[in-house]
Amino acid sequence: MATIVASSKPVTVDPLRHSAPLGAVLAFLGVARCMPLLHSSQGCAALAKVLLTRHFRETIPLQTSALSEITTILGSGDSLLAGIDTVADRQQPELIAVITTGLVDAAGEDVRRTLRLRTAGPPVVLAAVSDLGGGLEQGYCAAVEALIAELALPRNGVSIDDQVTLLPGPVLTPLDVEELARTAQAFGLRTVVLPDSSRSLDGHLDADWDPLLSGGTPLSAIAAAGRSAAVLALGSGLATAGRMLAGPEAWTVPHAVGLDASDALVAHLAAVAGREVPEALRHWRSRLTDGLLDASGVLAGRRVALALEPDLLSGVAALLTEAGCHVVTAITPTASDHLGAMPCDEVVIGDFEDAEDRTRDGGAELLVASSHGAAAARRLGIPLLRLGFPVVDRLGAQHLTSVGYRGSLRLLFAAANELLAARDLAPTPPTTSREGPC
Amino acid sequence: MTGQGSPGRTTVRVGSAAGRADAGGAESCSSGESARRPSCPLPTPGAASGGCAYDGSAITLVPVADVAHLVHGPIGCVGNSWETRGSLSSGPTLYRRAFTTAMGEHDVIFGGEARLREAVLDVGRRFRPAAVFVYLTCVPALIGDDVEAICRDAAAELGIPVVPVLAAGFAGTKNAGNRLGGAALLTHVIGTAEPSYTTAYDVNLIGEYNIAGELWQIQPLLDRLGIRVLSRISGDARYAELTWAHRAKASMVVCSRALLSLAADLQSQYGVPWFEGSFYGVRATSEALRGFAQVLGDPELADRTEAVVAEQEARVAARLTPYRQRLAGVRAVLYTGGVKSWSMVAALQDTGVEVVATGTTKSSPDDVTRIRGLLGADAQLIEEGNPRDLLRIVRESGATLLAAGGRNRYTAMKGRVAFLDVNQERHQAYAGYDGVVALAAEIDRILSSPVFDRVRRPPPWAAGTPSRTLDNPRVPLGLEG
Repeated sequence: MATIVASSKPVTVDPLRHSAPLGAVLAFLGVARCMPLLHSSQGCAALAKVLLTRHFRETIPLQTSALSEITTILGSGDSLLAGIDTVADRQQPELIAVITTGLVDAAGEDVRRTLRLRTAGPPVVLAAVSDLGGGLEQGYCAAVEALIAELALPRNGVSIDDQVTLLPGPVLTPLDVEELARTAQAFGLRTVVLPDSSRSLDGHLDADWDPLLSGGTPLSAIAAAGRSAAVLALGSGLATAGRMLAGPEAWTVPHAVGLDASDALVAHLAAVAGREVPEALRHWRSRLTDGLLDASGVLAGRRVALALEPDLLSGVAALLTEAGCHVVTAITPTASDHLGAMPCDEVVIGDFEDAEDRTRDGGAELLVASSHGAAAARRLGIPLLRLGFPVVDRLGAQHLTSVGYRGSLRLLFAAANELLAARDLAPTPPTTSREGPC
Repeated sequence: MTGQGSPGRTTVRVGSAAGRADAGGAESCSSGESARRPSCPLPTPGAASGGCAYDGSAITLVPVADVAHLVHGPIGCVGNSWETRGSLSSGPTLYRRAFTTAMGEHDVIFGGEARLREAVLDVGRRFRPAAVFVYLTCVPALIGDDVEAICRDAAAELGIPVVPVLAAGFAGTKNAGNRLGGAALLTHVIGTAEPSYTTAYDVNLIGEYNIAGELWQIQPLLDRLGIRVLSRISGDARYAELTWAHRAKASMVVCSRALLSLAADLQSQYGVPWFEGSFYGVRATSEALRGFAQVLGDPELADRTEAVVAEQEARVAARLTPYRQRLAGVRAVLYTGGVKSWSMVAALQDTGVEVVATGTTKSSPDDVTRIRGLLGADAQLIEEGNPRDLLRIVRESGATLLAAGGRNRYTAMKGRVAFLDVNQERHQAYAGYDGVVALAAEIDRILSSPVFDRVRRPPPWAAGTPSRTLDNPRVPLGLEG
């Protein structure tokens, strides 16, 4: 059990937290032919776009209402409507996602009222978020809730017996999402995945260039998301979204990382499907248990520090603890209910400066964090296992999986290999005053 | 303006009354004040590209290495942008840290001034910077936080300079922010201290950001000429050297329209003459070196410069010859903004690459004139390069290389076209004579990849392609694609 501690500095140094609008954009990039539009000054979109582009190594569709001082003060509704019309015309999206920011929040704009003035064009969903509060998780989850509220059919209709709705959380990589869907499909279940980054942000080469991403959850699938036999959410912030679709029946867990959490996911899917666990999954489980044994020699007793988004933080802590590691510090940008149950003494709501200080104080031998942790790891002289967002200084961010038996095994080996690569395995001779034989 | 050469040559422009008018005129649409004029284009909602004024001010000032750069705003402003730029420092690394007040709803309701004051004092005391630069952003600008007063009080309390940078994002484009960053230096920093000694050959470099170490490619050339860089604005700079930039005998504005106004103001307020030039390409580098001699008005320096230019041009020509042979016939589309739209054309031409089109999104009429001079009257100018248009232009012009900023890297990749990063996020230095060789080597390396042909090939099972199957085993391996 962990105590939750909030960093009390008057200034944020090397932020771990990302803005909520960025999280909302991330969610909308997993919806088919969706064009996200930040209601903001143009820099908000430009800087977010550059960051997402560097992480995913994809062209990222993202536009802005491009507010100026004058439009902000005199009322930004016209700019928003003009921006919507422009992207409807240029990118031909099937859905436009409007994401508010701290600027329109502070200006007190009634964005819903503005959107009601529209008479034609593609449907619009509104994620009413702000970078004045919350982080990546809150923005992402608000976007998912907005999609459900606007586009899902009411849940009191006929349910589809062999269909399951999967809500992947903000920390799942595109290949994590694919792993989650395949795990459900292995039980013969049909899946609705919302949002589905597995074919939109996974890094693939299409025949032709298009301003919008290919892949993503089709609008028809969002409509049917509430008609499934079961709803599974992999992300603690998605509890509300899950309840919107399935009431109290929705199954929400913070993560499916590590043997125990993967077992829980698989057991739940087996119960939903009413089937035995397929052989292929049993075999992946045996690979993970074998891997845990192989890695235990390297990882047992090792001191690790984590600086990650809340769901990923508790997931990685669970896996590495299963392998025998000792989590000496865990830093996360925003609070979450499940953090108190983590297998470490304390969880700090803080920034990379807090992470660096506590990693040093705790004598950690490995830091698990995004690319922004590299400078701290270098100063501390310990290896960095890159995970989370953004990973911009290595290729293959989409492939950094952690979900299920297969994802956990990848992460386990990656952690062990960082320590193996960093450690000088050659024994050093003792210092002695006696002269050598020659 | 004077120093204008014949079309087709890269030339230096020497500051003068006319140069100053130009600095005010050509750039007026991206200045903070005149962005409000109805004649100046505002970004189009739904079709905007490029950063904001805050982004521009950070590009101009964050390279100052021993300063703590504190962003007063919500988390998104610095959260999305720190560690993205490639300016290097030979010493302090404080500039790489990201400091922010991370304003919340509470600050909007009660005002962000108290939080900002505490943040400045905390940063000043714990990190012991040479100065603190405080960047205003949209939200505190909207709610009316008095950043200047906070900075004044904090400076008195800390005993170090605390400089307000008033370039809120919604004040304009990235160019406007570059300019407002320069204005902050002029108002609060330049002229506040004196150098321990001066020489007749003290100069400022304005708009040189030491991307990937480019300053370090230029510095040895200036050393050989006996030119001392008094103030680097701002690549690899220390705060102290900015304070005495007014004592330079000349300024060179390196590849920046937005900072022409800073140079012009240094001339009008302190009498420092200036010229504009570029260190991209052999011809441009030589012209830049001659520019110093011309502006400093020293015949002996001019002679020394000619000797160094002749020696360096001969040396670099020999090194470039094999690349120019290999790159002959290679066509490139360049898409970058402002001054780089012509300075990079010249550099690419020096490597032997034919530039068939270039972007003019942020270019002034004067930039366009220079492009015409370099590329001829038929040059294709790309006014607005959305990715689809860029790929079409690449295809239609027979280009095999797209040279652009990082955001278009994956435009090129999705179009199966080779890409060269020419903007601030890159990790390769291309300045000066040796920089041209590095540029040629990099283009050669990128184009030598077999991957572009390979990924264009259809898979063996695609319709109309013979494939090796059980029924058709005679298709030789390797011809399946």
